[in-house]
Amino acid sequence: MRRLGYSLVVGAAGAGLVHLAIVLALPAVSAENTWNGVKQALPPDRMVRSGLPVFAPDPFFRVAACRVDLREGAVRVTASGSVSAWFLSVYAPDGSGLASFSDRSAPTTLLDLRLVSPALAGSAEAAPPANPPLEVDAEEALVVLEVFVPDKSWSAATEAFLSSAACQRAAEGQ
Amino acid sequence: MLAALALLIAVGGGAASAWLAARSLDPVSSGPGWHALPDRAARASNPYRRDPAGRRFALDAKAGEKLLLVATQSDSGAPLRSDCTYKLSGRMPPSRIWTIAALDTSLASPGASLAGLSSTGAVWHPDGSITISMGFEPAPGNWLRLSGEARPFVLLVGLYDTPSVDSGALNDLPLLAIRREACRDMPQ
Repeated sequence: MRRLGYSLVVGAAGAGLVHLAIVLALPAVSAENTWNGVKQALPPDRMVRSGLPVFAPDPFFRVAACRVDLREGAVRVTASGSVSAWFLSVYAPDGSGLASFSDRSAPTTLLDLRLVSPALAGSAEAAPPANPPLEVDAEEALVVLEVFVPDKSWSAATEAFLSSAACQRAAEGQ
Repeated sequence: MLAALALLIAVGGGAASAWLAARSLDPVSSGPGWHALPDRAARASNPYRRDPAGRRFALDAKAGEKLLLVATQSDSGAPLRSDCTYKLSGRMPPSRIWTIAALDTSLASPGASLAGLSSTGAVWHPDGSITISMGFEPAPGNWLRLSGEARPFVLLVGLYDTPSVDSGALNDLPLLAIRREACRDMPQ
């Protein structure tokens, strides 16, 4: 009986040490794991809707996301259709915000965004002056498109909008 | 045999408690009332911050014109539970769109939406303030349905296209008071 008690005490003390070790190790691992997690979940330059790590906890919003690699050139994000409201945010690999738009603040209510990295901004092909490329200070970024769904009557239009959302390498002159 | 038991308790217990600690809300951001979801600066200083539903990857929730706020307790400091009734009252910060949702925090279905209300569906008082009832029984006016079970939940408020983003102090923003009225296991 006493030996059982000993092993329980030793076990509990050991649990404390293991807890401490894991908790102290977490910070070094978590930041890297988050962007790595994103890269695993999202292939580059493709708008993804399902199987996403959850980027938007608000249940009133449907979300699509695209991981972009700007080292090879500009990336163009588009979507078409009519929804209640849309919000597009661009994040750096550490989670900090780089840029954001909504259907109110964008140059037009159409969603047509060109992203370039600073290295390639100077050599970017001429784009329509009404829609200049957005220079983001990152080589890799996460684009998150959130659409507001006030109620079920907006579901079909939201679905169509998100299905049309595309994220692709911008061809020359586009 | 007993050594193996000690080892099992050490590794299993330590890992489980660390996992639970990592999933739970950051004690700094807990407490009564509303708290902004972590921004980059806050995350740099405290890497354990998590969004209310225990998910791991938290983007800068104040990027752009959006602000996410979370509450885990009533104004008196009692954890939010689905078997209680609550009254939320006051004003919302100015924004084009706002949403409020009760989210399940149980390990079984973290982040599941229990009930929600958005600015498009809300009813306002003539003076611009708002009252929202939360509970199992239907209530007139704005009502968020709770399950009636003794399970915790969190409230998530989203403000979109809001000029409130840059306000460093939430104290400057009008926010809803969260008052607990009664719970099933308490004398009425």
